[in-house]
Amino acid sequence: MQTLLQDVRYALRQMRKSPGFTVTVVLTLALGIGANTAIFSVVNAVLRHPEGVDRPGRVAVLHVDYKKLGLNIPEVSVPDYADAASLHKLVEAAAIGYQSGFNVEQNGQMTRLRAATVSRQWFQVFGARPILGRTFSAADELPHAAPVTVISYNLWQQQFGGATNVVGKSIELNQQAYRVIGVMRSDFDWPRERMLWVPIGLRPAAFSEHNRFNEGDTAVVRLKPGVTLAELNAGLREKKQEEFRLGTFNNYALQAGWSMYATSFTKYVAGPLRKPLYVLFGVVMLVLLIATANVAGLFLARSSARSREFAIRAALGASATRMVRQLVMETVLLAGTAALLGVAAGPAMGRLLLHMVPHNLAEGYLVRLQPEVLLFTAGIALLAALLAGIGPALRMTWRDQSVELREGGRSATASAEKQRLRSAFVIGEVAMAFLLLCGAGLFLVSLRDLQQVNPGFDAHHVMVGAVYFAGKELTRNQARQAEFVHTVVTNLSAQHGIKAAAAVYPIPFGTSMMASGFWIEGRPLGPNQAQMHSNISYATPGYLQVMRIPLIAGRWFTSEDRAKTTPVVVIDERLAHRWWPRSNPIGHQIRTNKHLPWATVIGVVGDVRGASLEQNTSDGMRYYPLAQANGYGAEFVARTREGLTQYRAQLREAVRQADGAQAISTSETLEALLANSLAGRRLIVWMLGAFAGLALLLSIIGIYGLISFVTTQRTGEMGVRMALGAQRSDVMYLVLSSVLRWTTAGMLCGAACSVAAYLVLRHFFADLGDGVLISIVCATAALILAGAIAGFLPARRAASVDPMEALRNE
Amino acid sequence: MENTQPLIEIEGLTKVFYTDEIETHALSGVHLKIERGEYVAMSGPSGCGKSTLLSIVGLLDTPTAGKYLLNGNEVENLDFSQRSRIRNQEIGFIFQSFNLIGDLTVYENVELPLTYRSGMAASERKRRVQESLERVGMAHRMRHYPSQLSGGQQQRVAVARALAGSPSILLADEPTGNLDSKNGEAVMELLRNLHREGSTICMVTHDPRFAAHADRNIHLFDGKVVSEEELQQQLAAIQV
Ligand SMILES: Nc1ncnc2c1ncn2[C@@H]1O[C@H](COP(=O)(O)OP(=O)(O)OP(=O)(O)O)[C@@H](O)[C@H]1O
Ligand SMILES: [Mg+2]
Repeated sequence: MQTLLQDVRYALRQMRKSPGFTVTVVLTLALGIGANTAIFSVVNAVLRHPEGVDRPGRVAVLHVDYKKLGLNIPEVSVPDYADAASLHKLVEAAAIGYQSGFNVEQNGQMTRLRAATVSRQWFQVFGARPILGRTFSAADELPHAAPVTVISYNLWQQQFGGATNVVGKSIELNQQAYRVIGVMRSDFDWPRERMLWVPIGLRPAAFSEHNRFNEGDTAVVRLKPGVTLAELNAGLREKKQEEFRLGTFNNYALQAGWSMYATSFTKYVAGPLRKPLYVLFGVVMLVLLIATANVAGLFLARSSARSREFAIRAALGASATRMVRQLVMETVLLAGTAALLGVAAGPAMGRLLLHMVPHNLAEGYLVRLQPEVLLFTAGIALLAALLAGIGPALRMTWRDQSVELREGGRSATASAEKQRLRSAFVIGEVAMAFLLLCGAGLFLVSLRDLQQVNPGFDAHHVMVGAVYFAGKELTRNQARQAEFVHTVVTNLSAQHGIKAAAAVYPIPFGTSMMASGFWIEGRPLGPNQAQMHSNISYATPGYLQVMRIPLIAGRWFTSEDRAKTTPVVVIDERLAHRWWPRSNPIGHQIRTNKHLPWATVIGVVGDVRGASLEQNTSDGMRYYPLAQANGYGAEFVARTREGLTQYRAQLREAVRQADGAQAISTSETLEALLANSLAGRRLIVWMLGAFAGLALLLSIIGIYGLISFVTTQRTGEMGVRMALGAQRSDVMYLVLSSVLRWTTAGMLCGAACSVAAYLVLRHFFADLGDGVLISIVCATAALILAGAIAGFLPARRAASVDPMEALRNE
Repeated sequence: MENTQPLIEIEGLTKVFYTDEIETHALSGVHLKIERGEYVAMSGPSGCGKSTLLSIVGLLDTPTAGKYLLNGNEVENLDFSQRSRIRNQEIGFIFQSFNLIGDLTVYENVELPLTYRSGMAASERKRRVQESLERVGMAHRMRHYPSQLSGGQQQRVAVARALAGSPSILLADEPTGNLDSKNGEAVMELLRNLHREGSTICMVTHDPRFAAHADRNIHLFDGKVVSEEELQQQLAAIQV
């Protein structure tokens, strides 16, 4: 204890004695630790501990997989949900729900409120309790129960001014009064960004086996304590086998390779942020390693400057362990200070990071200083301290102290051999910086390539705005829907700045997708043949023109294709090639199921990407006239003149004129939708770029530190070389060539690491390959430049050594 | 072409160091001639300017004033790179503390001055290194590093390095200063042999025994060359 205190005091004195050294070390480490704290706090918030969910590790989400169709759906049908809910041994509570919306009048304007229609166990599954009132009861779900709602904290504040007597009051949703029975905690936000929840009230018919493959709901379960996800999945498989035995399923399930499985809720919600965050986590670890290598190099430099001191101490009887302990104490103190700074700055950096994440991905995540984060930071700091201190400690235990004394006294020119360990650190640093630069380049090239992927339509100057049908009059009446859509399109087209308008549902790269199986007339399915399957879209006559999707054959819809006229369908090239490889599809008949009439194929249009520029997952597309369908809503698309800013207002006006009860929910440019689909990729590029820059800077500092130290040590040697006739340029070359040696060694290691990293990342990110060569070339150039910058001053200093140095004895 | 001029001809050479407003007159009006093939020993009390004079003769430093003809060429006003070139070709240095480069082998150390000479073939360099190492009797230690040699051996390698470039003159500043008497003796013996074979040598030494090896002794006192008698008088004056 006594000696420990003494060590601390000694370490503090050392820190005070060389403030420049202390500040450099602390800042370098703080940067590394802060970056780690930042990323970890985001990882913790997004991947490990979603806000407002009680013990999220026990919450699971159900998915459906059609193996033979290559289809994976994060949603289930009501019978699926019932199956999962019946596993009482494993499941504490199960709930089902879907995202919905209601129109409400706010400040004289119809606005769309995002809502969720859920079963009463929804809140129980998430462990979310209301701050006022209660959540849904069984009675609320009965067929003729009075409409009730649980409102979000935000809606409570907005609509009711946070009044505590809100419970029992009513709110007009889609022109129907709903009684408020509870107010939810502000941090509970599942599904994302909901303003209110209403009960789903499932009818017995919904549980019918007919509905088995009608996936449209999100089902979540809370596992019983101690039950694992694997056990739940085993339970789900067993249930499926049982139902196959009982003959509950029709043949379709077998043919399509149907199964249901669960994933962890945390994995589900992280969605597209998941992969980028893991990559970034790896990246900040590298940054920390670089920072640590830098500090380790600094420590080594100082310890060789202090080697005589240590040798004398050893001669006076200090044991190696004692001196190592003293060094470690110093690094721990320095790293501790850095950790404090890092903890102070980390969450702020994390929040900044979430700002850079596109809105739709980041919303709802809170970055807070949680105990896990603190623990993590402490661990990281300790690791950094040990790594940073390890160099001098190793040297001290390896080296024969008596040699040190002799050598210091005799040699006129310091041997660079002493710097081998330090060179290793610099080489490592360069390698890591190279890796980061290559990674940044790789992702940058892939992002650029992806941005140039042709989605099959022309998104420039196209605006999009969604209207979800509200009110019984519209939702149940196909003719009214067609009329409404037609009126809005007509109104919109007449507005200033709009060249052409149309409607579609769903919009490519939007939030929803629709798909279903279909039959072709005269082609019965073989016994083990999976059903034909494709995406579906409903569109108006103007859609092709607005989107500039090419018509390949036949015709597109006209205003003559109406509810009562012959049902028609247009398919895309993919479907045409797949099902009519050597014949003309036009004139053939297809239908979605037995209950619907045959529709005639009247045209073939170009392929369109549905959701991703990264992968072409499209299953083919069937377009139906919006006028011949009963839908949920419409996305109004308009090709506008350049720089149109008031689209939202124009659309709102067009909608208001058509039907005062309808509201627009979102409106943005089609390009923004495309860009959002690359948000994860863009995040990686940004962060990798920033961290690679940081790494480059740290490497410059590292190289500079080492080279200037070595050059100072070799001053005598430089003098001798000049006395023997070396020109200044010879000496400069000598210094720069050793910089080049380190950077080359580092770059070779870095290139090897980069190739390895590429081979791994390739499996997780599509289209990553094209940039390998150019990235390596650019990273090489950047590091050579960095080396030149770092080496320039020391080289110049070495070149200005006075040859008289050679005559001077120490 | 037979050159009848002295190798080194110095007239009225002065050197003043300015440090922190203090002027140190290290040399004040030195006249010196050294002929080809001469062996000159320079001595004098500490601080009298021996090293300063040697460094100017060796073109490591420039005089404040005065005239310096090396091989009949004026060299006092040359720029750094011209001086480097002449140093490389005409001058061989032997230092008190050997100044071998620790990272380089004996062979590489000796080769060093030749690598700064442009247009010398590798085979020629090799031949010269070999030859000069043989002359100092260190050829068998070619692959060793300086730290693996004794002080006397290191100094012999340093002599070999000075010889490798076939310079016009060898300049040695207390070459035995860091050696014990036995090793010092050996190095002096080596220099004497070199002189016999025709080398021009200018050596600073404190040791009268070694000074006796030389053809000629120069005494420096207070920045001036003085005769033996003058030196004795001056020293006596200080003692009194
Ligand atoms: N770079 C310098 N800056 C300032 N003064 C110097 C410098 N070099 C030498 N001197 C001064 O010039 C004078 C002559 O120094 P020099 O080294 O030539 O003496 P020396 O005769 O070689 O002595 P010693 O026998 O001790 O080696 C001394 O007074 C010394 O302090
Ligand atoms: Mg001297």
